[in-house]
Amino acid sequence: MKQRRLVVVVAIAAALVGGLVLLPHALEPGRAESNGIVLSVSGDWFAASPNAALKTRSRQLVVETGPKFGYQAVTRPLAVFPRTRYRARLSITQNRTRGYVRVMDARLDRELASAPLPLRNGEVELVFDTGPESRVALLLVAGAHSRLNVSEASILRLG
Amino acid sequence: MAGASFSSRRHLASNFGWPQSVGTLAFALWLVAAFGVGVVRPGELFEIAMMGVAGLLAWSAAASALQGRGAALVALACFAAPLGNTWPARTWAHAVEQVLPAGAWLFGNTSSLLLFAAVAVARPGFPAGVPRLALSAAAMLTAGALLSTTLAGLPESGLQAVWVGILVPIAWGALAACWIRRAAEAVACLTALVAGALVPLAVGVAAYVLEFGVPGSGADLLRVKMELYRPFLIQETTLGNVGHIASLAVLVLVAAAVLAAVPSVPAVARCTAALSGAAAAIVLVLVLERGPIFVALAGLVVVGLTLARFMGAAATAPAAVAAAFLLGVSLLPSVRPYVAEALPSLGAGQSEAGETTGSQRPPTAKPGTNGGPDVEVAPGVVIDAGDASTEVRFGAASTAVDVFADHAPFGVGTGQYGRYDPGHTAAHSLPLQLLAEDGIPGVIGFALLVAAVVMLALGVLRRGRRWTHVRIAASAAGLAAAGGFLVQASLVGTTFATAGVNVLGLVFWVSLALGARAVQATE
Repeated sequence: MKQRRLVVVVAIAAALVGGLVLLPHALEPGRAESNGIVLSVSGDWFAASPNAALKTRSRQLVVETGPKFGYQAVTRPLAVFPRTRYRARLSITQNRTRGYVRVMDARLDRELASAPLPLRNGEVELVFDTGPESRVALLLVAGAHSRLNVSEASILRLG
Repeated sequence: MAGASFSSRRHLASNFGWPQSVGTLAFALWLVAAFGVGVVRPGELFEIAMMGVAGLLAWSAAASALQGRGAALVALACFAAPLGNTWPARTWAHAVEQVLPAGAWLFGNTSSLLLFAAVAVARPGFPAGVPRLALSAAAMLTAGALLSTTLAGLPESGLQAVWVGILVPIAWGALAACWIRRAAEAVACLTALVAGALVPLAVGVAAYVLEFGVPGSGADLLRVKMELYRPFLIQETTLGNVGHIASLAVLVLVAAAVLAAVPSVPAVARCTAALSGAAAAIVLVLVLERGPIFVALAGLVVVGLTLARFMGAAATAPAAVAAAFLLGVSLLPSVRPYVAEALPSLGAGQSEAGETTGSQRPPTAKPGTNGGPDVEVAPGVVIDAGDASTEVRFGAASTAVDVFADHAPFGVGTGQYGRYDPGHTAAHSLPLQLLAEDGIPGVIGFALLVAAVVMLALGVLRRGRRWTHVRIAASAAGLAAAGGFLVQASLVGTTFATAGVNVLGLVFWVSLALGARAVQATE
């Protein structure tokens, strides 16, 4: 009886230690995201400032920006493989504001790549190396009182 | 005194109606699962390992008190209830959706499967000894949900919401009332529940530390809090958003504070409760959800005073330690302004952080971005002091009343609120959501639930002096968890189920049934 209990305790303790050691794998992309992610316009974007408003209209994400130049919209943290090259692509229509599309780490502390917004409409493409990051985010930075329409956004693993 | 109610594990094996090899089989299954997951999905091994830890604790603490197959099934359901959104449960739900796209709601939820299995294995009788108020509440909620969903044209999402959010949790409450006869069994089931809750709570803490590190100060806590409106690993691996895991933490914390305090409860059960309670308190502090923190503090004061009345000041120690921890963190110079901001607007004031599912605004600005009035909480850390959540929640409440007014008296149908208020998607108050969705019967059902918990609690206070400590522990722990749910439901919008996950509803109904049963039970 005692021996059986010892076996159970040792097995569970070993699994616990193994689980803690392997926990960082939880940040890796699942099978569905292993080659990249096509972002949904409704569930994957969040306002990045209290004054920016995000809406979904005709399968487009509409970002009405706040009263100041700055962060306006950001994606959920996107699972990527560390030290891997990816290409981010966004189709954007906008009304005469200056701004950028940036690829950031998940907590928005470090910039991995940046490109200016198209003048009126067009595609923005950024190739970036994830470095040590397991999660990245796309960030829209734009001027005050303007409107951005994002019709497509994706990241594709290049290898 | 009532320690005699707990006998040896050998005794249990002979009483519980199952061969002793059930434990060996469960361990073998866990071992295979742990090995397979370790190879295929190594990132999920920690969760499986925690299930092993929690399972061992629950088995050691609870099994010896259970008599009969029914009681064992209730304990199993209590253990499984908090695991409703773990990786195995999500994988099962996904697999069922692939095979049965139209009826996945009936089989995709693990609590439904356990319910089918329980009814097949052991025969339930009529739930005796349950107060009429609770039975009436269950009947009104069921009738309101069925009627409103029928009037809404029986949409698939409505059927899922009625089954997963209303019928299954109520059925488990009824089975607990049928099959639990003694206070010691109620304590065993509640111990299994807090042990099961250890899994999502520990996974939540681990996910937080993995992505954000160990917070070294209040400013660190606040800085991460500002980021949790987007779904990081802690939301993905627990209950989908930090509001829900905080709500679960409150229910576990108040119940655990009781179980850990009573000397006649077996030592393993007390240790399990202490461990789960500590994990719950840590989760509450990490996610810094203000509404649940206030409710937890109030709940800890109530259970502390109750235990002091019947068992002396020493029994208040776990509740006092947990309350001091929560209060201490809330009063840190950098955290206090954020917490205090919610106080005048508690009725609508839980932060919406983590509850945003897409295009809603964040609770505050990221330092350096545009936003409302700024407060410097630490050198270099500036947050927006504007409480946007108050505005959002009052707006949601007002819209819920409008939705009901347009669809009185039977509401728009269970689970249909989001279609009528896509901006808020929820009423952020369960009574108002029930009013809008299930109409007058729904809100009467909620009022009856509140009355049932209040009457039972008064019964404990009036008659508790003549009871054993185990009976007081079972009734106080069950009713504290049930009461904590109702207060959170009213103030911060905790609901029975969200998106097919009914963890909180299950915990509420089973806790209520066990608390009520302990009030009526034999020693």
